[in-house]
Amino acid sequence: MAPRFLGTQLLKGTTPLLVLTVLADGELYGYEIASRIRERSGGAFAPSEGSLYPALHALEADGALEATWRTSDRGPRRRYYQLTERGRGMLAESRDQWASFVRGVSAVAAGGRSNG
Amino acid sequence: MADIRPTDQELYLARVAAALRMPDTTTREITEELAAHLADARDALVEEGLTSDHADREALARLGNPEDLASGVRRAHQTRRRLATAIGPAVGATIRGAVVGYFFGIGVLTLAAILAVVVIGLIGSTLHLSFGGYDTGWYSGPVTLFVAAYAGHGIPRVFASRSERWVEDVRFPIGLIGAIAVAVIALFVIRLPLDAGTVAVLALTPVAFVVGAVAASDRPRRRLPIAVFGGLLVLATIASVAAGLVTARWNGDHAFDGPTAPSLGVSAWDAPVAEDAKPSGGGLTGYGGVPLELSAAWDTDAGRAAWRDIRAEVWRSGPPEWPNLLDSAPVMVVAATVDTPQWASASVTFPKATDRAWYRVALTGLGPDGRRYVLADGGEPTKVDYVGSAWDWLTSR
Repeated sequence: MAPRFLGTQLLKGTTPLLVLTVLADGELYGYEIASRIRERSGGAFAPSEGSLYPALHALEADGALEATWRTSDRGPRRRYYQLTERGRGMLAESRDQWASFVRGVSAVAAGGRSNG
Repeated sequence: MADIRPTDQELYLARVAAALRMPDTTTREITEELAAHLADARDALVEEGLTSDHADREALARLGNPEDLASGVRRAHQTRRRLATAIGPAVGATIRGAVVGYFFGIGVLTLAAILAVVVIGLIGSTLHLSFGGYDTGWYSGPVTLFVAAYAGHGIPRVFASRSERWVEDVRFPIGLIGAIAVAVIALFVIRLPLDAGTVAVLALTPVAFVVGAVAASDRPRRRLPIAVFGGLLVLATIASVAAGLVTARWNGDHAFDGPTAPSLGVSAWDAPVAEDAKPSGGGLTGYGGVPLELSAAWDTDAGRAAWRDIRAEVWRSGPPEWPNLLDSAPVMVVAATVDTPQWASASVTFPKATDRAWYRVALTGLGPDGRRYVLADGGEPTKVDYVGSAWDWLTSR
């Protein structure tokens, strides 16, 4: 089993990508975003809820997300986030970076030896 | 009796709010968002089978340490970009504050002057005082300080709001940076006709700016309390009388107009005016920083040749209302040059005095009888201002 800190550190760096990915389907509020990530990962991981909000607010400050307060039929009013054009661009870029990161890490982790 | 102790959630959100150190509006929005999150999390956990109390605790635990959460959100908001974009509105707030300070200052000083006149009128019969004068020229000094204080006061709130910080976190740096900028402008850049009062005002301007900036706070803006306004008014009234903004006059002819200068025996003006020489070439020109030219002409070469020691004399004097000479000797003597056999002239550059001194000037000479005569009189006393920066003024003494 991988050391726990490895998972935490990996997740911390990927939170913006995960947030942007789930918001690509449509607007969601904070708790829904956390739930959606948990569901999509099959419960394997979820961002720490404490780190989710700093990530959301940072993405909003960067112009990747737009937030709107909306009242609901039940419960308190909630702050919904949706992707902006800039956010879509950042998502595409983050996906490419992640794919290349995964390829690189997989190649190393697979244990292949260089002949050099 | 209802339990009014705060819940764990309320305590948690209060700790987040305190650690955020951000403007009230933003803090309220963030804590509201977190409260909604906690409510959703709690409901979900209860649906999963947890007890209400357990669900509450678990929802809070998932959000983690409130100070860490607040710190993360604060970093997300307090970006350098926001800091940069706050500069423009802060400059706008400075200008608005300065305008408000200008009109407020004029208002307070006018009220103070009126109050001073009324006070003088009321107690005048006892002290034999009557209203002697009302000088709005003195307004500029105190009004400048009002302008600086209000300009300083306007910045922190706007800068804090735009950069999503607490006023209390920005007011000291703003006060310090602003005071340095104001000091540089007031002491080195602005060049004015200066006297001690004007230099004192310029030197106090950065202090007024700091006082204004530091007085800004995160608490909701309140109107100036009547007690503070009244105190300011009384202070301004006393100051305006003391500074001569409103002058009192003894009943009768003995005025506070100023000291009577001693009449001194030896001066160019005691000398008779030469009859055979006449001022010419424009006589007196050049007040206002350029050298002053005095000249005299004679009808014959021999007429001029009979005169010796022709010179320009500069005497300190009172203002035109009491133009007596203040010293027993001229502060400056410049030998004239004989430009042509019938023409003598002298060029005088005034000493750069740090007070607003009045001077009288004349071209004099020793006549054929050995007595000194005035050849060309500079006329009424002329005020020569020290024009320059406050720093020049302070360092030239």
